Amino acid sequence: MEKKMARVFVDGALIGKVDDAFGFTRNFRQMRRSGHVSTEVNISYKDYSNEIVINTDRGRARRPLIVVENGVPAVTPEDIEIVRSGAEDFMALVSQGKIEFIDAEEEDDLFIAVQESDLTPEHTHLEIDPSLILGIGAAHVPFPEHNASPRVTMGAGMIKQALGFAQANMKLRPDTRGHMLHYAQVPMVHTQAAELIGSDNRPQGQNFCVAIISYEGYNIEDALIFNKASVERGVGRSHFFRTYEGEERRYPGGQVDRIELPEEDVQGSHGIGSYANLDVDGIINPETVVNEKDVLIGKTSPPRFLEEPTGELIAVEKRRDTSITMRSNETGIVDTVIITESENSSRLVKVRTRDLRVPEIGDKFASRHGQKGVCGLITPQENMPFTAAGIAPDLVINPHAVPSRMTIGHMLEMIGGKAGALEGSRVNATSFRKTQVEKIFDSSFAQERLLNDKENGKDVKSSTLTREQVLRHQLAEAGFAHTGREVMYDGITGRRFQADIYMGVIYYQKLYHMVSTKMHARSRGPVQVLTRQPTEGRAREGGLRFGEMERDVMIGHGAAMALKERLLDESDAVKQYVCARCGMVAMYDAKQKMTRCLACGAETDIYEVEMSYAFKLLLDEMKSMGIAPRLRLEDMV
Amino acid sequence: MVAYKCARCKQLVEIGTNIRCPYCGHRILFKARGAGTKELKAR
Repeated sequence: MEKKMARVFVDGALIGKVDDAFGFTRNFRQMRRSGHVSTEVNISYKDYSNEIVINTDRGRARRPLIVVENGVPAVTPEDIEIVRSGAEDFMALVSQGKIEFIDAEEEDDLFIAVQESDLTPEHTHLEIDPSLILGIGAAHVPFPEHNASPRVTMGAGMIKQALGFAQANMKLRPDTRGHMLHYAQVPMVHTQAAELIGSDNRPQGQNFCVAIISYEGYNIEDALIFNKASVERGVGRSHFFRTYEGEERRYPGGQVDRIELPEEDVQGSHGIGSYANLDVDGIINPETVVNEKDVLIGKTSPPRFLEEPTGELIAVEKRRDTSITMRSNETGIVDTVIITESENSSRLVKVRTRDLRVPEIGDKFASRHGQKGVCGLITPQENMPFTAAGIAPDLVINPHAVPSRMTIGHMLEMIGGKAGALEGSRVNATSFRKTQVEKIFDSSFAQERLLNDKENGKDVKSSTLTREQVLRHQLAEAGFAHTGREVMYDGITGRRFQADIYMGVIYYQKLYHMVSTKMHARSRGPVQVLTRQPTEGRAREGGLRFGEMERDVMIGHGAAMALKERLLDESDAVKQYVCARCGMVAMYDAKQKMTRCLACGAETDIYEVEMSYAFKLLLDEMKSMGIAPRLRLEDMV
Repeated sequence: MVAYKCARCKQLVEIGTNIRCPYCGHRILFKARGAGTKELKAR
């Protein structure tokens, strides 16, 4: 059967049909390479729906690929030399049709070789560099080809959660919230992509000296043991900033908010002690130590409803206290106070607070290989394991973290960091890289030293050593075991460990999940207005949910009274009067000091019944829909 | 009197109804840090 004509869509709009879809697509691409069609246009033929999709609109992510014809890349070594010399730029290769920018849709049609050595006549394109198959996050992971792929994905995810030196104008920025790591370092072991992206200018971690050994059970389940001396020297130390805002709003009728020291008689006053930190302008001073719920900006607002004049005197309007206070569970020091005008020309005050976050038990840290862990102990340096040279690690991780996760990249980075630190040079750990041996080290001094080295009597340069072998060779050259392991002693007993301990230098990141922002407990606290049940969430001092599955457990154990205590007594228990005759909720008339049923009057049997307020609310809502729920009362056994 | 500092010209200024530096007209002012001493725990 003859194939139907293919429909052609441009930016999603159907513009016509063509009979030879393959030929059309091929010719279109040819015209793009020859400059007759813009290089910013992408085309794709969808065989399954017989549609040609042409995209020209903005916002498409596109990436460059080398065009391949008959298994030969269009970009030649001469072209690379020309670009390298500066005679032409990269975009010249694009306009010559040697490199194409491909979007996600067109990529479906292509057969892309990752390495030049993989090329066959069937290939249509070639990656400019094999490491470009990775995104920004994964490209930051050193030696990713040595890791199990889920760990690279996890590493890529956690890089985004790391604290660092994210902005250089921190002093001026009134960001709502932000973190800043102290003493951020560039990684000893790095990748080319990270360098090109500019991560070295905005580092987000520190090079830790790490030993892999169990430690008194304090590092089970991926917990981390920190050296207290390292923490005191600044390892993992950061600041948290939060900005609070207060504006003098204008209301219809000429009413305005006022930023001021609130009077004692304002409605909803926080109490006279709460305003002790405020200056005469009603705003807190910089460098004031503040605790949770402390007032930062004193503010009063007009009453919600203007009162009617009563009698001869006009009632004095009572302003409401709408002061801006510190969040519950947050403390700090007032950092900057900015006074400016908002876009409505009203006074706007921004108060930024800062809070020093020294690593503590419960803070989360991770390497770039998806090896995350929570601080389990901060132990004095004298109790840490130490080497024959007297070196105690900054961090101790558990050996069980490695075998099942297969993060060999983590182990290699430790060797790389150690060799780099000894060599005084950063180490290049870009993925899938087959470079010259000496290019593993960044410093020219280290490169030169390596070239003069002999490996088993052969020049290192002429050998076919892998990067791992070179790093091991350099460790041995520096007098360390090529395995990365060292003789170590127990800091507590002073005895030598039977096994040699793997120790190296590796980049660790402090992640923004800190225990001080999560820790929460409640005994008594606020309840919701509608249901009278405890509020939810840490910010609202909420209760911890006793859910359906927890309920099942209690039932399973037959712990009926414990269950009632959780679900009723400690939640929204109320005592309601119920009319035994009509079964409706009755009331207590406080003036006459007697109970009364609105349907049956006072001459009826009314009993006090304990129920949950949510149930009483259900009864009310049913009544609002015209349903009369009636309670049938029985004697308690 | 509360002292404010202009974010642009760094002059110490006083403000009335308008939030504006009388010297350069800039509308962003910082509250100046007090001269009082402060005691903090080293940790």
